[in-house]
Amino acid sequence: MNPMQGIMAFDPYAVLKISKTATQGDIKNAYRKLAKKYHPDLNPGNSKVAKKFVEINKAKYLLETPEKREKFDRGEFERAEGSPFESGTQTPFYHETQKGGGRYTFSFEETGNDIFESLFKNYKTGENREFNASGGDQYYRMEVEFKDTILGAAREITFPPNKKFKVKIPAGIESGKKLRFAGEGSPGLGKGNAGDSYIEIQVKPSPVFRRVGDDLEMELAISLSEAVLGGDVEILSLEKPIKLKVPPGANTGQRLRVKSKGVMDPALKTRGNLIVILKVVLPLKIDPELKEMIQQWSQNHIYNPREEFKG
Amino acid sequence: MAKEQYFKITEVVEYFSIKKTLIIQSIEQKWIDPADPETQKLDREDIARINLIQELQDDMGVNDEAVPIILHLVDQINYLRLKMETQKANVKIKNDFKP
Repeated sequence: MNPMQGIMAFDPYAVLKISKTATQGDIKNAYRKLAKKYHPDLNPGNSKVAKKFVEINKAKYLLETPEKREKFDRGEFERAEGSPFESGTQTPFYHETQKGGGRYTFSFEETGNDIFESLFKNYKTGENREFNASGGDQYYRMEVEFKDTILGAAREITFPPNKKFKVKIPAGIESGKKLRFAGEGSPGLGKGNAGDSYIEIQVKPSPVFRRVGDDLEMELAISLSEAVLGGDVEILSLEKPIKLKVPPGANTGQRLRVKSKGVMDPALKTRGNLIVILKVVLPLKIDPELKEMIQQWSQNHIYNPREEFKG
Repeated sequence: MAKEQYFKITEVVEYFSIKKTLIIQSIEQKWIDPADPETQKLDREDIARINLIQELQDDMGVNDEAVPIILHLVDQINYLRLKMETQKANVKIKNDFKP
């Protein structure tokens, strides 16, 4: 691509928001106004502003003298040495030298001045009081095991840099709820109190259980014979495995209730139920014996499971 | 790690197009604190800071009285950004924490 093409498509008048009949003084004033607004050192870390500043400087360069301006207006712009478009020794922006902490930035820490102290250290109210303010709150997020949120648990967690706390995870707590630690946030100013810390709970999903209000639900696969004949099966719970009686003639979707194996209500000290949803699963391979048996049986026992869906 | 590069005042004038009078004024007014005070050699931070002063004065019409105020505010912004980034890093560590 012809490097001139980019320049020729660029409209410096539009960038500086001036008309094509603006005086050189107008150009200078327009640039000044925009430079104050878009200088990257006055807006550190803002990439949109930085991009805009490059455009503004490009526009200024093209119009800054009557000679350059005339050349641009005639479409005869030439790359010149020392233009903003040339690579070479580029003075870095000041904020770039302070990224990660520079000598001038760290001077705040060395004086031991909190940012607000340095602004307000000589500030006094009408009653001659010093400046006091509460510290800010801090927010964190913590993933908690499903079982711990259902039954409750005590866990040890660490705040940075190395502050440990024993946290009581309340039974029944849901994702999005916050635990509050009073006085564990940012320190206050003057005689102000420290802020609080809040931990937002994120419940880790269980591969087996699903919470529905105060109940837990799970899907249980049963065999053809268990479905037809019924029987005892062992199922998982959040504590020890449980023996469940499958009634004869059980069908897919049938819900069996196991009392008091759901979510704990810490106030009432009661638990919801565990709802087991049955799913009849045929053998992976239908052997010839089963096939023959079903063929014979079905000749004398006609039933249509889709009867209720007939139009 | 590369040694920080220091520049004499004459080198700063030549390589970075910064006025000598402004460099001297910035040192006298304590707008900058030369990296090497004994030899008055400047580092990248000093040069960028003087360049900012030059732009404030030449491009934005800022007078001498306002220069130290603006520099102080800019330094505070940079300090706050640094603190916020440290805090963000700490919160990320918390997010990764599993009890």
